[in-house]
Parts: sequence; C-alpha cells; structure tokens
Amino acid sequence: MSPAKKKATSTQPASLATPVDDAHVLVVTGSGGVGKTTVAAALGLAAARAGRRTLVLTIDPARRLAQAMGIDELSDDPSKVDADASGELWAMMLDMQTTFDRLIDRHASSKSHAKAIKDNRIYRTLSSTLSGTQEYMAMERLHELHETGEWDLLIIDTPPSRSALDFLDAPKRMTSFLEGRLLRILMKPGMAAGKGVGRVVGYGATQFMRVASRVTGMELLDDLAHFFKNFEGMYQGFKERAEQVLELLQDPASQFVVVASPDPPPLREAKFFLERLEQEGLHAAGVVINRIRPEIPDEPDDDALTSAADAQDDDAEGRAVAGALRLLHEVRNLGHRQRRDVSAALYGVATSTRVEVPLLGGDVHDLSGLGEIATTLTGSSTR
Amino acid sequence: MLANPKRAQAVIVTLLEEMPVQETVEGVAALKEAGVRLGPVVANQVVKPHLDAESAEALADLGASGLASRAGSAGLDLPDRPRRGRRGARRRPPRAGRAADAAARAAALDGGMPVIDLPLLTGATFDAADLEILADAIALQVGEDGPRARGLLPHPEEAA
Repeated sequence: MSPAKKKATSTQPASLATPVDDAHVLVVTGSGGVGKTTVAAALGLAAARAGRRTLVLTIDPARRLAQAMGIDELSDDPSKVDADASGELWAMMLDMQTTFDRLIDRHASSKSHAKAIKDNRIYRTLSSTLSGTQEYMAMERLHELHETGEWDLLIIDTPPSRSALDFLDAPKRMTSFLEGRLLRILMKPGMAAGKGVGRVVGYGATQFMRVASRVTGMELLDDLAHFFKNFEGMYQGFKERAEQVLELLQDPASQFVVVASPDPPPLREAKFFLERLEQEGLHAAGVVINRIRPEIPDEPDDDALTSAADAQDDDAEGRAVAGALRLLHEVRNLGHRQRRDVSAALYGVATSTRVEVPLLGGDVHDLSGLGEIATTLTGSSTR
Repeated sequence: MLANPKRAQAVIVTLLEEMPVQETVEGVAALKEAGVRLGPVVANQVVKPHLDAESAEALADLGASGLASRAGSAGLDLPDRPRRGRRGARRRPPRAGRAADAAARAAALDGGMPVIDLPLLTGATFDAADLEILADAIALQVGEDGPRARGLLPHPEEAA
C-alpha cells in the first residue's frame, strides 16, 4: 500500500487514505453549505486513483459539479467520469421518487397492487413530504447499489438536511411510521386508547395532518382508505428492508466522513454528529475541516507588519507591498481564529483523523480542482 | 402575518459565493411569489480588496523574492520562498480572483435588489465590539452615521 498509509499513525499529516483504500461505503455528512458534495466527489476521485471502482451518489443537483466531472447532467443511472485513474469513477444523482417507487414495486404483491399505490395521491404527497423520506431513500438506494456487488466503494453525499443528524434517524423513523399499528390508529382514532401508543401517535399524527392538509375534498377519504388497504401486508417487508439498511451502515466497512467549515455552528454540529455515531456504534472515518485559511508563522508580529505596511511609499509598488503585508496580517488572524474554533469545538471528540482542506482561490470547476482536494484528503503527495 | 408587508419583511443574508448566491436568487423568487415583502439582501463577510489593479500587477512583478526584499528594507524578516506547499497556495492571488468572482455574483442578485455589505472582520476573535462594527456598517449604508465601520466597506463611495 501507499507510504502515506503506512505512516498515517506517525508524523504524517492526518489523512483519509485508509478509508479511501479499504472502506466499502463512505457516508459524507455535515451541515448545509460546508462542501459535502465536493468532498464526496474528491474522495471518489482519490479512490479511483487508488485503483478502485467507485461510485459517488449525490443528492445535490449541483450542475457545476457534474460539469466539473465532465458530465452534462447527472441522472439516476451512474455515468462514468473520464478521470485519469487506474480505477474507475462513476457518479449519479439520487431521484427520490424513482427510488421510492422501486421500493413499492419490490414489496407489492403484484404489478396492479404496486400501480394502485403509486397512483394514490396520498402516496405521492407522502413520499415527497414525510420528514426523513429523502434521507431514508438515500440509504435505500445505497443498499440497492451495494447489493449489485458491482462497486468496490460507494460514496454517498447525504441530503442537505437542516440537521445532519436527521438521516441517522431515518430508517427507524420510516419503520415506526409504517408500522401497521400506527396506521390503524390513524384510521380509527377511537382505538388509540391503548397503552403505550401515545408517543407514536404524536409524531405520526403531525405528519398525517400535514399530508392531509395538502389533499382536500371528498376524494381524500377514498384515497386514504385505498392507501391503507394497499399498504396492508407491506409493512413487514419495509421494516425488514430498513433493518438491512441499518445493518449495512453499522458494518465496519461503512464509515462516516464528517465535513465542517471552520465556523462554530457547523463545527458544533460535527461534534454532535461524531458523538452520535459513537453512541450508535457507527464508524467515523474522520473529520474534514473544509476551506480553512492557511496557517502562517507568528513572526514577524502584527505590529511589525502594520508599521512596515504603513512605511511604504504611495506608488504602485509601495501599495502592492503594503497590501500584501496587510493581507498577510488578516489571513493570519483569520487562520488563528479558525484553528482555535476548531480545537474548541472538537475538544474531547474521540476521532483520530482530522484533515484540513485549505481555502482555494475559487470554486472547484474541473477535475484538476477536485484532484487537488483529493490529494489533500489522502495526504498523497507520495502516492 | 408573514405575507403582510406592514408587519413583516424578509431579509436574506448571503455570502458572495456561488452556492449561497444561487440560493439567494432562488429564495428571492420564491418569497416574491409567496407575496412576502423583501427587505435588502445582506452580503456577509465581504472582503475589501487590498490591491487595486495597478498594485496587483506591481505585486505580480515583484514576486515572492521582490516582496521579501522590500519587506526586508522595512525591517521585516520574511522568507523569500514559500514554505512547504501550503504557503504556495496562498501566494497565488486567490483573494483578487475571489473578489472579482464575488462582484459578478453580486450582480446576479436580481437588479434593483438593494444589497447591504457587511465587512469580513479579521480580528483574532469575534466579540461584542465586532457586533458594534457590523451595526455601524449597516448604519452607514442606510444613510446614518457609523464611525466604527468607516474604511471597512469595499465600496466607500456607496456609503452615504
């Protein structure tokens, strides 16, 4: 294996080379806007360079990223990226509705049964609005792709959920919503008097009201009755499936890459997420601090920089030197602040690997830009 | 209540970067459609350029060693070559490119939307004094006095 990997435990900078080489599933997660999709794509490229057949599954319709990978438009079918790598890099975008429809096809007793469900307006509304559905569908699709056995490594970019934690709950939420008991309670509120059901109803009923509010008129009751009738008998299949998905995520070959920008709120979220992973017995590959400003030596000190900048002549060259020195001063301050925030936020977190990706001059628009990040993530200047 | 222009208006805060600006453009359209009154867009962490076009060119001509020797004459001991790769990354002119990018993106913010800039504050910490500076930055741009934010805005001519 690569020298970088062997030295990972000694003085080499932290790196994700090991998971890139060995993991079967990498789940990339973090709050919105921190660069999850870019990190996922860069990890994919790194894995392809390491000779692996890799698929990046994204939820984000980031057209520019697709273009960066040389693909006009991502679809629900994997497209091959023309990367200079010994392995292969493929990318696809999750189509939630298609995935949900396939799930129905799988569990329905017949084609007409499946069609009846898919045509139902309650289903159409529910499948796109039920909280956690998108998260769950991402995991479901991941499992489908895993089952094909075609991929060495699957990298999934989690949905831009308000809270990155949402999707950890998704499989459980899905099963608890779909449990026949709950749906029966919704159908016959009079029966809800039994013990131990109150807390389930609380959640389900809110969701239910939200769905119901979108479908109005007399047909609602008809649709509702059909929906529940058609779903009868599918709960068990759904539940087993969700358990398989959870099992896949719990496998040691499935690892989570937590991405944060060097700002307190995303960092706090990253910390919660890492703690949550530990509680759930899930495996963290490491934390990526994305777009951090460079670390600049403390000498010369701030006063020296400022007075040297002030001493410059007011000609183009003088302004150039003064500008550069002031910039150095500012960037150093920001770099210090960000590193302090990172240390403070991640204090006490038991994750061995923390990788910093420097702030680049512009957005990533092509494969070479992704390649630069891939190299940083895997510490692979020696690869 | 939210759609009542007398009681509520939406202020969208953005960074001058690709994704946030894109989301702002979409957000403006969605809020307009929903009949929500829009206040100004606030662009946060706006970088004030340190170099004009002329001095940027002069800096490129000087190069790292020229800069180090000029800094040396002013009593500063700067290494004349980038240390490791990391400093190299900084030596490329990223901020200038960013600022230009940002300007183009700001222009994408639907013409006619007033934009209030909040300067990127570069202090080693962020505390209550910084909040006062940001408050002054807003004050300056709505025609009031904001002494603590003078000189921090990228377009001083816009400050009333």
